[in-house]
Amino acid sequence: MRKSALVMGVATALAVAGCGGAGGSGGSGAARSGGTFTYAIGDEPETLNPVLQDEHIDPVTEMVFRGVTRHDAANRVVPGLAESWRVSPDRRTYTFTLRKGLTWQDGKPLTSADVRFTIEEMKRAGAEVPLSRNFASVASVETPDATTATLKLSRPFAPLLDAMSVGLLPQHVLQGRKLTDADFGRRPVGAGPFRLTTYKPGQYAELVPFDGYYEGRPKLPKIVVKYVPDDSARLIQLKTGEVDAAHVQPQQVAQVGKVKRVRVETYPTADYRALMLNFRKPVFADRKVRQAMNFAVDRDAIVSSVLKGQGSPATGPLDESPYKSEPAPFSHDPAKVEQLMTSAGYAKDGQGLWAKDGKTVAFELTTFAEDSARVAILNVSATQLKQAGFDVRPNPRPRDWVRKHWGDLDAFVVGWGTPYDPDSSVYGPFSSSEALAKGGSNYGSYSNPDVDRALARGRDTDDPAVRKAAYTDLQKALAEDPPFVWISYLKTDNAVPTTLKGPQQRTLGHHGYGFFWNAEKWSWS
Amino acid sequence: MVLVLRRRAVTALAVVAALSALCFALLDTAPGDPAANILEARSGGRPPSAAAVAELRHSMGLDDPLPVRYGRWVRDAMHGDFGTSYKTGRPVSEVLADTVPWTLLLTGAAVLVSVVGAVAVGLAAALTRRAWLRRGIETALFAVGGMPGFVVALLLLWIFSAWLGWLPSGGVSQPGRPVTAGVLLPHLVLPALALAFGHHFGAYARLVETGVGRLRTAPHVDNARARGLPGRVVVPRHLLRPGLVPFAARLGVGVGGLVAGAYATELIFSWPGVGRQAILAAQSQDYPVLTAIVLVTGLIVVAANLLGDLAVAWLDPRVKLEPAHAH
Repeated sequence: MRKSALVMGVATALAVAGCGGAGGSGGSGAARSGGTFTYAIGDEPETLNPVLQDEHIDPVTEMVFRGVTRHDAANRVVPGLAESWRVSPDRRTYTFTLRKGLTWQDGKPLTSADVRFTIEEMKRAGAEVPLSRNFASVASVETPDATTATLKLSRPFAPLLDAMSVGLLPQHVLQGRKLTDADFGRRPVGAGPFRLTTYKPGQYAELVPFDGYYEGRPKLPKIVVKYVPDDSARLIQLKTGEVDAAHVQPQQVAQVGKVKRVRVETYPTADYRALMLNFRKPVFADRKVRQAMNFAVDRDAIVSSVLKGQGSPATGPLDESPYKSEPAPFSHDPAKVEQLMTSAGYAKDGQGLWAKDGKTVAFELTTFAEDSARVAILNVSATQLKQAGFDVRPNPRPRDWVRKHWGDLDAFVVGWGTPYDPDSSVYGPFSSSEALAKGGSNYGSYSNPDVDRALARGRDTDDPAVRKAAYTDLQKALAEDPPFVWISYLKTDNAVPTTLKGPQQRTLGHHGYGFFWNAEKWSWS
Repeated sequence: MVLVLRRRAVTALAVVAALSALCFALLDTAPGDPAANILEARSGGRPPSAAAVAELRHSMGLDDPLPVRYGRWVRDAMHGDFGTSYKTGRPVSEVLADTVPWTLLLTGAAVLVSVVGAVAVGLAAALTRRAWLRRGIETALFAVGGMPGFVVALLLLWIFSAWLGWLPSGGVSQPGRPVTAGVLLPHLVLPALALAFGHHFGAYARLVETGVGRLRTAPHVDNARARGLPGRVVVPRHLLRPGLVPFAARLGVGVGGLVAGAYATELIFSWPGVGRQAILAAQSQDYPVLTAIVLVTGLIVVAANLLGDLAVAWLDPRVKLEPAHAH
């Protein structure tokens, strides 16, 4: 009797297990060379509308849309939907000539009216579409014929060509709807190389080549972007072959190296981490102290420990830009710290901290507590600074608290930088006209007349030689009077099949987005 | 019976009303500003200007006082309109329709695994005379009981997906293929097992074991055996049915925990359910979505408790669901 009960129990257990075994058809089997390319990523965008994503856009949006201009592997502006453009000598009139015979992915013709529509609608949406700031200087858009769009500017704006790389929106689809239209955000129509056929929020997006793409039909027959939020799950799917490729975390790169059929593509990004100092605080008044702090952090140690080698030491805001000049001399140099602090009138006190008139270089270093990578940088750099004699109190705080107290923070682990026009990278954080009190994004209230002059010169021209000189001056001024303690640029890693040809390295933007920038050229070997 | 259901329906309504008010009040006092959040997401993480935030708050109706906003929400909800997602602009009802069925399927499967598994393991432990088996089961239950749900999930993933390669590691089907039962089932196995074994499974099996074990030498069982009834009658009727009462009572309550556990499980297994939505909505302060999800979760818990009570009443005839005056 007892035996039969036991048998019954075991039988039920087996039934449960059996129900698993019956369906056990594991992964889809990898190495589908020549077929669908499946890529796993953690972040799913809230909308696939490029004007609601700023300059750093997710893979699907990137492939569906194309702008009037675009960027090449060196992040230079090159023709996109426009085959050419002319800029008037006073740099207030930009005339774009679109390529002949362009169509949208739904087959409708793409004309200069779409250019006007995209710019005007973004301007009209105002605060709802933060990217509209790039078009604030555009007074009007004229369309003398179907392939010509003429932008009249109220004042010269050097980054305009850069801004024109924003994905163009189809007037015939969005006419009478808001730019924030949810339906368009899920069923986008663009002029990019791939067309979205299926989008299952929370699951995947499926794209096929767009026959009417202006550079010819892309070679990959199908691309699936799978949303797999868990980092470990992404790695497992890569191992089992459920996906061909995946975005991986720095600490996973070593493990990915053991997966057969896969190679890791590591791209630099212009996304840097630095300690932003608040210039409202007298403790940071002396530039020698800030220089000394820049010599006190051991960037290589942070890159190898926190970033597992997936980063590079930062010495300024344009290290990854074509406008990079001679790098600032900052390195880990305790002797230099000693020399700078002594010449600034500081001496080590009983606790080994630099002090002047009885006051140490005391400040709180904070960051978004939710961002574990930034917290790690915060902890390591605070320890290094402390060892060098700076009285740092590391204290991560909730994102929301930080948002309300920008003006009160002492120092903050900041993330900044874009690979595109240098103006968008440096004007916001370092121009005194963008100071926090004026509603700008210079949260540290940094102010330096030399920097302001260089920023203005770089912004008001598009003569490459003048700009190069202006941004060289800027980097020199920032090195002499450092607004930040520079830490590191991040790198981004993607695992792709060894049989995939075509990914080309480029300096990417925030979140390492932009990996699919030339997906139209990818193919199976 | 009908009376019971009607009374429970009224309770459920009251729960929903209370939950919605509580949810509104809590979200209102929660730190953060949905408008600022939206604008920050749209500008690559750059903090937006105060003027832009104020403008968007106004157009979102966020600067109305709390009672006005709640009143508006109740009025719309009465008409079946739960608003639109702040983040994606999609109607909340659409979001729920897309996600709730997946969560119900996952939790349903996990409940099934819990019941069948706990009864099987519990019975085996209760009825065996082999000490090593009982001890083995107890040790295993202790180990499983001590593991957080997400650890169980990752362990299962590594063993059955990464190592053995028997089962897919996430999602509900292969992208682009229709979701058929044959495709869905293997995708369901790991998350359902993870959810079941990661949440109270040890407690459930122990409840079965003690519930049944307690009765092994009970007079009515001895009596039944003395009458010469075969084991296949004694075990289900005299041992199992009364022995399962503590387990059934606990299960009804436990489903609430299971639904909560589904949130983390869904994230690990890329399961397109409501839990993943809830986490995203909470992170981005997408209040309309979050409120609706809280309500749906509340309803599931109320329903599960009712089912648990009904099960107890069926197992134990002494339990009366109807209040005395209803007779």
